[in-house]
Order: sequence, then structure tokens, then C-alpha cells
Amino acid sequence: MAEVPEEKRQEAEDCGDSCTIDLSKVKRRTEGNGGDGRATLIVLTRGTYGHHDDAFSAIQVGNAILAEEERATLLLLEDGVYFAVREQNPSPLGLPNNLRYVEDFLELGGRIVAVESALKKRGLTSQDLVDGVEVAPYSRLVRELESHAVSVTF
Amino acid sequence: MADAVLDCRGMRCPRPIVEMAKRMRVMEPGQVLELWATDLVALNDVPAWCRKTGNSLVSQEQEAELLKFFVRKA
Repeated sequence: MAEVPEEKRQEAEDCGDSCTIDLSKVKRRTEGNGGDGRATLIVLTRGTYGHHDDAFSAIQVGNAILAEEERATLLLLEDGVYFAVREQNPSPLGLPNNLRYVEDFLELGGRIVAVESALKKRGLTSQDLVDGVEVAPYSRLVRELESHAVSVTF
Repeated sequence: MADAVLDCRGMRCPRPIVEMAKRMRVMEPGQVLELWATDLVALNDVPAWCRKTGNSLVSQEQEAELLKFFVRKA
């Protein structure tokens, strides 16, 4: 029997019963009768820089949504947490720094949430992140999914 | 005459819209922002953004590659 990876075990411990999705809430959300207005949840699971531009695309989508005065939350899972690291410098790769886009997202009123177990596995803490980024247990994913009208994963 | 000029030349979609949204937040209702852009997508994005947010596109001009939009804050 395959061993369960440490990160998955940690996520399961973080969740407990709270990771059970309330389907009635999801149904209300998809029918447009629940959730946070027209808020969009953007889930980023891939590392920043050199990953088919997933992180770059995610933040551009988010900033465009916020610019149109709608609400957006960026949820960072797995390697996605690298996106909010305070001192990132991709210049050796010849790529533009994404930090300015992260700052735009926060300035326009977006919320960025990094999953605590994903940070811990990568040796990161909240101190390593851009000011204004929230750190939350994995179980927050369920609440965020239930409370946003739309979700998109990169 | 605009109350402020925002130079977004060389920026690609959606950055001109993002920069405009940020600037408009600190402007007063009735003030006009003059946006400069070179990305042709702005020809669609700026009018759409105005319709969506309730701000008014007063006029727009094109001088070679330079696009100028005059947007009044609602």
C-alpha cells in the first residue's frame, strides 16, 4: 500500500470534519443565490516563474476582475505559495518580477490566502510573505469554495 | 482638459485597465483622467471598463500608435 505523502496527511489533519463540502451551498452558489455576490476564487497550485506562466495568468485574471470593481480572492496551494514570497527575484531567468502584480491585487482590494501546511512543507512562514497575505489552514479551501460565485484553478 | 495623465504606453492588456482603476480610486467625482496607451486592445478594454464601472468615456483620440482616452470619474 502506498504511503500517504506528509503534505496530504497534514492537510487531512488540518481538515477534520470541516473539509466536508456542503453541496447545498455549492448548489446555491452555482444557481447564483448564494456566495459572495459575483466574487471569484482563483486557485493557484503551480509555482511561479517558468511553469507555463500559470501564476502570471492567474494574477492577470485577478487584477482584471478587481479593476472592474468585482471581488476576487487568490488562494495559494502547494507550490502556489511561492507566488507570495516577499523577496522573489527572477532576473537570472530573464523574467519580469511578479511582485508588482501581487501588490496591485492587494491594492485593488483583493484577498490572498496561503495554505499553512503548504508553506510549512516548503520551509516558509508568514514572515516570508508579502504584507497583507493571509495564512490559513487547508480547511479554509472549503469555506472559500462555498463563498465565491465562481472558481478557476491554475 | 484632463485633471491627470496616466502614461500606460508599452503596457499590455490588462495592465492599462488595472493602472486606470488604481488611479481613479484617488480621483474626485467629475475629474477627468487622460489615459495614454499603445496596446490596441485598449480600444475595446477602456470603453468596456467605463460601461462596467459607470465612469464616462468623454472622448478618445489616436495619434499614430498612441491612443488617448479621456475618462470622467462618476
